[in-house]
Amino acid sequence: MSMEVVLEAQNIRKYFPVKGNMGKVVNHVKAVDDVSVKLYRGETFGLVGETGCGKSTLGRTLMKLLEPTAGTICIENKDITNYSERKMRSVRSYIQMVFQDPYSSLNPRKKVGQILEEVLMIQKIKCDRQKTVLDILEKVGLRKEHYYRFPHEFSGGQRQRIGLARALILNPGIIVCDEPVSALDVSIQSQIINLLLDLQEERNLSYLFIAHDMSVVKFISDRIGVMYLGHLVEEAETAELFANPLHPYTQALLSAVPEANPHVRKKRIVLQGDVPSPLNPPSGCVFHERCPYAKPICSQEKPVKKEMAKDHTVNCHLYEK
Amino acid sequence: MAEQEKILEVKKLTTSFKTERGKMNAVQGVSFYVNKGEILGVVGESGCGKSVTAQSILRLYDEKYLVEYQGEILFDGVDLLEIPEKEMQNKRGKDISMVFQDALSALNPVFTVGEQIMEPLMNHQHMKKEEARKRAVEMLRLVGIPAPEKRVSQYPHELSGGMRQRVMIAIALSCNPRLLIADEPTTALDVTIQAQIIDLIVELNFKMHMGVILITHDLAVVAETCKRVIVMYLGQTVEEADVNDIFDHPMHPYTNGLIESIPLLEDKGVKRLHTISGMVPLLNQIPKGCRFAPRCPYATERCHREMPEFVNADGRHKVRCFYPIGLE
Amino acid sequence: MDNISAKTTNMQEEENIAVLKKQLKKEQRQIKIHKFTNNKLAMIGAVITIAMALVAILAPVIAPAGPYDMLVSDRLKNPSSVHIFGTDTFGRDLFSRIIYGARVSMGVGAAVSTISLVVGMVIGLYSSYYKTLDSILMRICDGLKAIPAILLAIAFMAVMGTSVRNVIISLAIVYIPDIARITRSSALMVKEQMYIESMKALGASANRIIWFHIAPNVLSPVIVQTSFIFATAIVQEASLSFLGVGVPVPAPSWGNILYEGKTVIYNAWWMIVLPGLSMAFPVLGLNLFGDGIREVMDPMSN
Repeated sequence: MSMEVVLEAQNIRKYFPVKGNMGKVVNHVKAVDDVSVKLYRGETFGLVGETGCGKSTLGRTLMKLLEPTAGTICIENKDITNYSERKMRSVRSYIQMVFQDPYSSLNPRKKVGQILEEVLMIQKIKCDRQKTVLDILEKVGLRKEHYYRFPHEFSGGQRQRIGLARALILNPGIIVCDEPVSALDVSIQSQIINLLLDLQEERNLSYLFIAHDMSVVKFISDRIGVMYLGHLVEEAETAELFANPLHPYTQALLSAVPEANPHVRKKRIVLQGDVPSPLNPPSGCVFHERCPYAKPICSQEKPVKKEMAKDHTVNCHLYEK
Repeated sequence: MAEQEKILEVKKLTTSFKTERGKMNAVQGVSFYVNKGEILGVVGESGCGKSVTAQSILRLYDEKYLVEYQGEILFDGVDLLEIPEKEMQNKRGKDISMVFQDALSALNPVFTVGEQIMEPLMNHQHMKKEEARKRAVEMLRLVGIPAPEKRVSQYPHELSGGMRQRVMIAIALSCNPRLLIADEPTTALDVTIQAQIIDLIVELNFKMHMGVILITHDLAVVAETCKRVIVMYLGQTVEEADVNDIFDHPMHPYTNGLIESIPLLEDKGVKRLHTISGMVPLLNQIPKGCRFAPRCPYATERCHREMPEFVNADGRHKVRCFYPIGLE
Repeated sequence: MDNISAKTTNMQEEENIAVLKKQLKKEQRQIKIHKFTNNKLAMIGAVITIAMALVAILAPVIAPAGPYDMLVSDRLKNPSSVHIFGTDTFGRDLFSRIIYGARVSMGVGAAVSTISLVVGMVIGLYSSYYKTLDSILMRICDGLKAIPAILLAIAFMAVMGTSVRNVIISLAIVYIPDIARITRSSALMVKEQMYIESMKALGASANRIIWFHIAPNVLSPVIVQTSFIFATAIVQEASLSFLGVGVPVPAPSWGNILYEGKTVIYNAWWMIVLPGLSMAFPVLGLNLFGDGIREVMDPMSN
């Protein structure tokens, strides 16, 4: 892993307006609130968090599938924040996406070959399209005759391979993987994860790996960011995060992960209540209402990012620099 | 430990569906039992027939022309496949109840949570409305819902995902069933909520002493909750053992492959995950011999030809394999 | 590995693939056709519709007399072997007039449904994709739908004057909102599918997404609706003509024949019953046909 930054996003915010009955904006859903991330060449950055924490929204905003409300996004040191849709088109071949649901991410009326060739057509790449497609199919472990099949003739794992082929065909440098294995069975999941790792090694790809399954994220990621209610609350290298989780939310999250070992009995940290609505996030630290260690300051002031160890940052008032 | 009381015994259950392309056996010759007060885990990947087994116990596909049952399902010595539908209705929700994966679609959006808990109470136990309402509040408190007096008159969409699953459990347990079937109860939930629901099921199992069948694809969930485990593959049971034995010495190559495929939280320094080659065949392309043979790394010519029986291997495991791992 | 053998195996493979491709296509088409032919009602509908279309096209061949040929001596004759449907007040052969009437009615139906299909789909697709456009176009459609269809058509006819072309235009305006709405609501659902987002992520332009990816996926409900519009347009054309604001007399249209029959209803039953029945045929046929298509096109019914 080099220290070359391929993607850098600073202070990204993504607010969705909530309209009242006269079409007036009455409130905002703060899906992503002031998040900064860096992605190095050849590394996997895991993004974890529970439903509604904004991890998928962040992934889409970084790709400019959603317009950021504020903040800057740089890809390969080019600021793409204000690129128009037309100008983005050339960037798109460099940053690709693999989607969660292998069933709805492929157009049911098109054959696999058409789906893949269309990608080349959109980006106006001149080559022997059929040959390129057949090569990429082989690369992701599919057979040539699959070229003429419709997506519904494939199993979930195979569809995810097609999705991966579609992302890879343009030779990208970054792939945003949005829960790529969570819809798959265990034995198929491990096949896809291995494939992702092989491809990364071969092409020096950078992955932004969004998932809720901690064991998968741990296996595949070099660094991990933990999100809660639109905020990135902790960020560290994988081993460091698991050995030494600092944020109370990270601690609770890790304690809740079930382990496939009947001899281990973990002591769970049970969080009180539910995740609050991103419409009206709590004042101060967004986690303070559920935090077992909350102090008076937590409800008043937003914690700032502090680096507690090398490359280990946390947003929490419990830690003093 | 004293002789345990079996509350459910399934013997050679075969469930087949009639389709345009002929009869398909979704479950074939499955036998197992559940003891009183025990949690039995049923594990397998999609299409292995674990859900069909559960729904067969409740006879949820009771449409004579589409589905065919063979074998016996003994509940308190009564064969559930023999009794008339009317009697079966009385058992559902009262003696045997079920929790589904998707709590949002399993709850009716036009009734309040309270009304949905009260319904089986008034139906099966002929409770008066006031009494049933009291019991509903009690049940909500039992499953750990804060402010149950308020929640009882709320609609399902006003609750969070975890809350809804708790309500489902409250409905299932309201009549004090002796058997609870939980079909992927935590799959749609987040990790922290999943942990809460698992803990709740374990706690209620302890408190109410009913038998529980926990159906899941997640081996980690099984490891945390169950006492005994059945592994299913393509409509058959392939291994049955105590949870510790299953995880420490899996005997069937499929079980072994499954356990090895999971990325572990503890770092073993491996660069690649173990995989099971190929994928689950469709029900109309079932191999002739052992059903796992085409994907099995140890398969011999005999495996492709003959179907192994589900037999006791070493007194602790029952396994369907000619060459169980760790046994010469 | 030597290049030559690799090349030949490659070529063989490609050939194999080509054969496989053809087989697959054929199979899928056969399944669809089979599903349609298996549906008896749909088949009846298709046969009726095709028969009516043939009658319209071949009118000059089938009709024993011209639609305007008058035989004043044979006024209001009962159906007989000479005039199988009888004659009207001017002594014109009713059978011939009804046959020629099929031309007008089926023609109006076909034109109205085609125009509303094309325009409605364009409006529906673009308003599903662009939010600002949506609020404008859909409010206009809402406005048009708020007025009863026949009143609206009469109003347009009153402004534009009576002619076949104007009947087509005014009925098309009435039915465009129907197609637009159905297209829009299906398109909004398709738009939420991940494959649309994935096309965006690949850098596809809006037009490409709309026409190559959304449109084919909304086609089946739209085509079903179009076949119903075809049927309704036939009835509406007749209604307009009956009210005297449709196809101008003496042109043979089923509505005109009914209008003429109204005055002699007590002594010439055939003037009302026969054109009425001939109108019921294609309407029934098209409706059955539409239901049949719906079943074939629905991928869920596989």
